Amino acid sequence: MSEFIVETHQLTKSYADKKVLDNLTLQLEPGLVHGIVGNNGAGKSTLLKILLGLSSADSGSSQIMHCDSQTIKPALRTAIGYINADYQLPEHLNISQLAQLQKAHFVDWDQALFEQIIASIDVNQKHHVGQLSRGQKTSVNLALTMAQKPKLLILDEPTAGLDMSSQQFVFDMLLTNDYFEKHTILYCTHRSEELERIADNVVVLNNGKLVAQGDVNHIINQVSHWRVCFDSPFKQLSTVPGLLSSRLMDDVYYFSVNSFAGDLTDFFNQNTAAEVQQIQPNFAKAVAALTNTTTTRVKLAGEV
Amino acid sequence: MKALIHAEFLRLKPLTIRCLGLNLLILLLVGERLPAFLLSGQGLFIVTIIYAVAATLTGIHQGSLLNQPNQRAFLFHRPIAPVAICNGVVAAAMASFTLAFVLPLVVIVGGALWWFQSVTLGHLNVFFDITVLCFCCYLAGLLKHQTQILVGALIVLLPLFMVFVGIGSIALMLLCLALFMLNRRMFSASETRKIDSLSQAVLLSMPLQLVCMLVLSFAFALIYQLSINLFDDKHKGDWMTYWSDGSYQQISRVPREQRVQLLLNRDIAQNPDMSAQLLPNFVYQYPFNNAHEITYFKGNAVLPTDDKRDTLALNNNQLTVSSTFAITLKAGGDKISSIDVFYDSAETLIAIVYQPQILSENGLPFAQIIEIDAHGKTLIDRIIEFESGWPLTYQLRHFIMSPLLAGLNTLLVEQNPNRFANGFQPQKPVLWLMILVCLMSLWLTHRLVDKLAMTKKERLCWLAINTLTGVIGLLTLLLIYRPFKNTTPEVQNST
Repeated sequence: MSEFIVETHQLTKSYADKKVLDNLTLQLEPGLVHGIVGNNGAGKSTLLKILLGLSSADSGSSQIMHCDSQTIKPALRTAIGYINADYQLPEHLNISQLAQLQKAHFVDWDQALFEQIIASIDVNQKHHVGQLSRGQKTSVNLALTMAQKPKLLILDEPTAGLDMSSQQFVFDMLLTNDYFEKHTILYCTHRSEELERIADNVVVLNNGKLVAQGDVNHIINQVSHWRVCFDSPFKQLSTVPGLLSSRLMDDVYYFSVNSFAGDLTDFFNQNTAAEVQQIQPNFAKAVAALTNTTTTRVKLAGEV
Repeated sequence: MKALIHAEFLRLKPLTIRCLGLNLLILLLVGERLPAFLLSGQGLFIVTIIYAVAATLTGIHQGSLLNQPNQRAFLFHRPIAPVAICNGVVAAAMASFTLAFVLPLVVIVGGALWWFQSVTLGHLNVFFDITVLCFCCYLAGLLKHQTQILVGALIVLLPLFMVFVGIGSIALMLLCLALFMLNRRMFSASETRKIDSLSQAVLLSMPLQLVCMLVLSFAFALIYQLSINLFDDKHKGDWMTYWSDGSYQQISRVPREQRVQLLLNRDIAQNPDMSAQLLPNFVYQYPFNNAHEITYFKGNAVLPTDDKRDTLALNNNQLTVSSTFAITLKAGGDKISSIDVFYDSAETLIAIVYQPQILSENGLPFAQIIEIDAHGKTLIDRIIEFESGWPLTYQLRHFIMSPLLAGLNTLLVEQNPNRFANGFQPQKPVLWLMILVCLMSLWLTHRLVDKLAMTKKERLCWLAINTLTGVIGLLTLLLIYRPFKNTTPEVQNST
């Protein structure tokens, strides 16, 4: 039996002519918080839907908790919690009725935990879902999912559209809950700063491809950033080794390149650079560089 | 599962209440005219359309939940098999459907009819068929891509459904299967596999459901026939006459005594003083209980005079009808196998006389219709030739082709006080409208083919199936609206 809780092998999925997942091979270990990050349309949500058996791949295979995700047994779903950004709870039910509905299906349902979370967001259980704010709905959703006591919690952009306090609530729930210290969380977002706080392992997707995987430091070290001033406009972008992205601001070029390219000081100096400076790397910049597309970066820097 | 059904039912509650409101609104708008409204073809058409649309909307309402991935995820990511989830959702819908459509149909419409007139098997039959139609519309509403499939399928099938529920069901079944097979490409482009599965589940279950409904229809028809032919002796020997001009006469649907009672009721109803004292129990001496003993001279029948009619009397609240009330056909000549007498109007009686020993110029048995006025003056209205054939066969065929129409015809006969029924004959504009709708459906089919980007083979299949459905509908129209036989009365065997 595989040691990985989630495993995909050459997973490919297309919508019309667009490849959303492109030969994605991925292995995630149990007991960690895995962050999946990428731009909109990078294939994050599609990957999760395929893993949950809510969508099928065009080719390749995927396993979740040692089970083929296309043939997940109903019983296995008790062990998997799932929340997505557009997740719409039935608005005609009140919170209490929702809890009853969940309780009837999930054997490990923790009513005390559910009530504790609901109490902390200050809503009445008689309130209908339709009456709640977006943040409250997310919190209720989180309460419903956490009370299921899943061994694997899958969160697909749970904080999308939430204000700061609601986001904080979500993180507090996840980070301070002892239960999830022992179990696995798959956290999918396009906001890298969220992952920096909670992820043990980060998966960076770009156009359906895996571009980097590892802990936060590993991702940061994947990219080096350079600030360069040239005497004359620099038009040799394609010659920059390992270039990931570039931008031009106030006649100053900012380059993000793959770390394997090494020290680029000499390269820039040879190209009439007046000033070359390596910038302190950070996670957000690294992710942004890794998830940029080639066409975008050339336009940004070369044509401005 | 129970929790799921309950939750889903709560979701449908507002819609259910609105549908109930719709029913009440119809009742209020139509009021006392409801029975007449329903018994008219147009009225039934309108009511059926309203119910069908409401059922479709229910389906679409639920389908929106099941077919949208983000909403569906809440239901489908559960430790229950997806089929069980679908079943739960459909079960909730059935509960809502029963409350919103079936109960109002039976309670409100049936109740109104019962209040104003007695409910008959014909009513039940029609209700049953409307329920089947509503159920089909609901299932269609559940599907994804309703805007394309639903509009196409319903426009093709609605005219069929309106009159040909029997064959319409089969057509729907074929069409749905065809759509399913041919639209796989469209479905495969869907975002998630489960949507396909749901569509497949609904599409595949639809034929099964319809087959069940058809089986029930047949069972219903058989029970109906058995109840008439086995359990009710008074109906034995009943026969139905189909005139060559397309109308028909179902003479013996009710016992003869009851029929005469109806005649008397109608007469008495014209006199308020008498109708107030009418009681259901009365003695009637039927003079022609043995047709073999009656002989007949053409054109020489005598009607009771006004004086004799006065002999009708109420005696201790019991109406006794003397034999003098009946027609006396004076003896002489050939034996008569059967004779039925009706009031055509307040002043005219009609006698239908059948003499199997005498054949027409075409060598066929025939019956004569004789009009007899209040003064006993007789006039041979026309001669009807019979062809061999059993009315039961026709009735069953009629029912299989269209339970709705057969039911409606039965209903019309049952409701007709003088037992003359022309059947449900659609007005010519309605017929043309149906043809127009069929043509529109063909046009729409063509447009849909363009949208779906099918291969040439698929395109031809799709067009052929839709065309076939329309042609079948039109052929059925012809078959149903032009009864092809004048059947020989069963009483022929006893001569």
